[in-house]
Amino acid sequence: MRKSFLCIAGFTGILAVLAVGGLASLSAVDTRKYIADKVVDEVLDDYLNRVVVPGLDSLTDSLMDLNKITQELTTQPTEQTPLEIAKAWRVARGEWNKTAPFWFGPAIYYGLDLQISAWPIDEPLINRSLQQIAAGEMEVDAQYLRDPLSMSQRGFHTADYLLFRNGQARHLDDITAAERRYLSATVQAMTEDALSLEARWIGFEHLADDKKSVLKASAVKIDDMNFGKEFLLAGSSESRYEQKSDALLEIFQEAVGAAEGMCPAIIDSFNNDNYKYGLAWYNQDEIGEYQNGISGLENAYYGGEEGNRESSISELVAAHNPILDKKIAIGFADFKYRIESLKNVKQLSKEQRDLLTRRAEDSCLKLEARIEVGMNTVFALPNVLP
Amino acid sequence: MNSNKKINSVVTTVLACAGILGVFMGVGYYSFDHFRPQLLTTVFSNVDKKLPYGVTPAEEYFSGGRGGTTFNHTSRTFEQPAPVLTATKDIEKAMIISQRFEDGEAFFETINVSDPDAPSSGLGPVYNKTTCISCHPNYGRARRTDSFSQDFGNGYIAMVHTEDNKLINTVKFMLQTMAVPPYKPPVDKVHITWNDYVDKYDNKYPDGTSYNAGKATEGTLTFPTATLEGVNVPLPEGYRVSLEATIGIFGTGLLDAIPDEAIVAEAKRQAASPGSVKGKTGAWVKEAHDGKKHLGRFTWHNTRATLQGGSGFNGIWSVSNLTREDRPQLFASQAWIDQQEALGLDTEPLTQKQPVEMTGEDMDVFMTWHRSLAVPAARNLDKPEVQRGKAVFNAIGCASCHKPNWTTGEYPLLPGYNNQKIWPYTDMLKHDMGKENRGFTTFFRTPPLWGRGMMRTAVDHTDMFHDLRARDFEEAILWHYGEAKEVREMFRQLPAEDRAAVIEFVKAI
Repeated sequence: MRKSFLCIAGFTGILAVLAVGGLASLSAVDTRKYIADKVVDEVLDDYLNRVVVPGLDSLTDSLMDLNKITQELTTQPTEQTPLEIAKAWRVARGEWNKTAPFWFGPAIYYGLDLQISAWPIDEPLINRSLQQIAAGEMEVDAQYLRDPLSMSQRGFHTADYLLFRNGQARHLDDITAAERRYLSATVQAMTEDALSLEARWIGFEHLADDKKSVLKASAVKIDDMNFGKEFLLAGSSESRYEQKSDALLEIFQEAVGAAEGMCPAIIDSFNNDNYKYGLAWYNQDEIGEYQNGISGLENAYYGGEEGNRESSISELVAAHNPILDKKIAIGFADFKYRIESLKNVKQLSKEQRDLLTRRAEDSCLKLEARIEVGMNTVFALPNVLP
Repeated sequence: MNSNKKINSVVTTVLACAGILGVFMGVGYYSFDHFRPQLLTTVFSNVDKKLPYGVTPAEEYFSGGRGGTTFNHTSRTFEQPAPVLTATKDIEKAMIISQRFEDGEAFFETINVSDPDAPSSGLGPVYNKTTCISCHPNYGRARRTDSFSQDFGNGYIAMVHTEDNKLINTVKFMLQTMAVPPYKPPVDKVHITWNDYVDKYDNKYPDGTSYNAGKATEGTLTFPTATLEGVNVPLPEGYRVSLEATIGIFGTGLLDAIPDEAIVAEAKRQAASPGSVKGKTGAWVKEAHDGKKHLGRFTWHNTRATLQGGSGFNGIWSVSNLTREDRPQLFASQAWIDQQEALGLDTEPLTQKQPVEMTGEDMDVFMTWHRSLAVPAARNLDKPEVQRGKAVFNAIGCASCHKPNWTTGEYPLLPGYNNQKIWPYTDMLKHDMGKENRGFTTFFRTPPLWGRGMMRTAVDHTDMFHDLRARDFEEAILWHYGEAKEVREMFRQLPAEDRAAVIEFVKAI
């Protein structure tokens, strides 16, 4: 018995040695490419299914909620309605800020990021429209806001203008009938635009039924784009990405871009006497703007929400340079801390404001630079000099 | 025997151990958890699947030359800085230039508003669009549309002109349809109509297959016409309206660096060559920024000479009406101001000196960005189909106008662009494209072909030609008439595989 076992084990051993030898005879380049492709597939898959898809789903869910409550403002408002709208607006705004790392592909093809969150807004033009609505010279709806009006007259910041004052929801009686109609239209337009963004990522047919209905009833063009599918099929003839690494690079460069978008606005948001240079003109939640932005960036870098993360670009950076990956982690923690320290900064002296905002900006720039170094470590795009 | 048994037993045991070890090694070899960190150090390079890291691609891959080509082929491929921009050992200098590039980019992307208290104020009083990027979606070409709207991606401009191609001065060359209240625009609306076009071959190739075979557009070609509604300024009888669309803005700095003399020489070469292709240079334009005359080379009609005086730089003034330090007046016609007066509106703010909304420093920063936008590297040039396409492209005469390469001259504004071999596939000359393409005129500059294959990745469309009548590469070729009619005919006569190969080549460059 023992002898038979040893014989079987011996033959298995010979076969295994031959197998390993065979594998070893494959070129190192092929093997490395195989492994790299497999890992990239996992990173792309987790990025799509743990970051983008749930992120867009949460965004459109929150906008659908906001839209539903906002419509009540024109039909059966109570004193609570503006408070509920303000609460829903903050939730939706938070979800929106988390999506910044995936404003590539469909978002930039159709300028959806610019339109959903157009900044700065054009208050004189909005006021003019409100006068015309009040005078019965204009009817406003989501499509009218898109054309002939332009993007500076709709989106999150326009809703902020109509809904908040000094960080609080406006009182129902202070919101004119024209403002209520305008607010309903702008929230409707935002919701439709966000749904079209989600539809283009996952394919219209995969949208939830209630979302499909809203999009179908809108004037927004519905096409057959399924960008997420192409993203996963990068490198094949079914994708607009000719190589897997093109899709992978999108994740990296958009993470850098999301950080780049935050850094220059810090001083204007927290230390500029003209509030119009900041991001939260009337709701005044600048801290929330940044906290959600950082949270979205973390999701992109680590491949999902806290507690639900697997393959990510962090892993690729760590494979090349584990210390850099750790430094990026420290960068996230430091940036969060610096933003937290700006909570009551506007009540501090000018010197203290200058110091704290500069530190926060430095922290942001450092994080951005580290992620960029990570990208350049993993990618080596020829940068041949003349 | 005992000793043999012992040896057998030892050998068997060793083999067994080796076997077990081998199995573990085999499993371990593909166990990512164990080996992945070491194996992940692969460096990803976007050049070409065949080129391992460290191998420099062939010259032709560098569409924008060594200094002006990006190998980033993502959806942001058209917005990358030229590598040469920050090519200095002085890190601090590189960082400053990089920041200037980003600041310049912000002018392009920002939304201009009429609110004087807000950032990027200065919109209007009469204007077309609130932001540059709206007409150059994602830095690329405008998208085909059926309404002259504020929609993102609509990059049409309407040109109002006489039957004999003279622009009408009561509206500016770029008709404005928007105004900041209380002012009213010169024209309320532009309507676009798409018309079917059937050629004398019934939109079929000699082998009987329809144009656009197998696509939703099979057998069809269409072109747009435009009409005005709500005209508020005087226009002469019989005026015509023509549409033109924006093109991509990347690589324009490199085109700016081509010497005037080289373009003139190319025009002379064409004039002396047999055949129908006789490109014309743009006029010599005396430019305000240096007081010198330069050869027209930008816009669809070569009406602008240098990039400094070119359409992009001009556009920030004429599209949103931001007054510049060097142009303190409004972009508005006297006829429009008269119209406002007739409406009883206060025209004093329109005629007085305007506040500077874009300083000289702002303009410098904007131009740093504008001239240093890189060109996407070519791809797949080693593929047999692409090589076949290249041979056919040259054989049927496409390269007569789509001149493959140029060598740039001295370019002090960005010395890294000096003496670069670039591959734009344009002769920088105007050609008669036939009555079938008549717009403001029948003469159009040969547009560069570089980067066209990246349009779907970067902009999600393949709409081309001066008024976006071509929905893809095949249609673009089929709309070649006038001087290019013979080449069109040769393309039609090609076997289907060769027609496809030509398109694959154009996509690759």
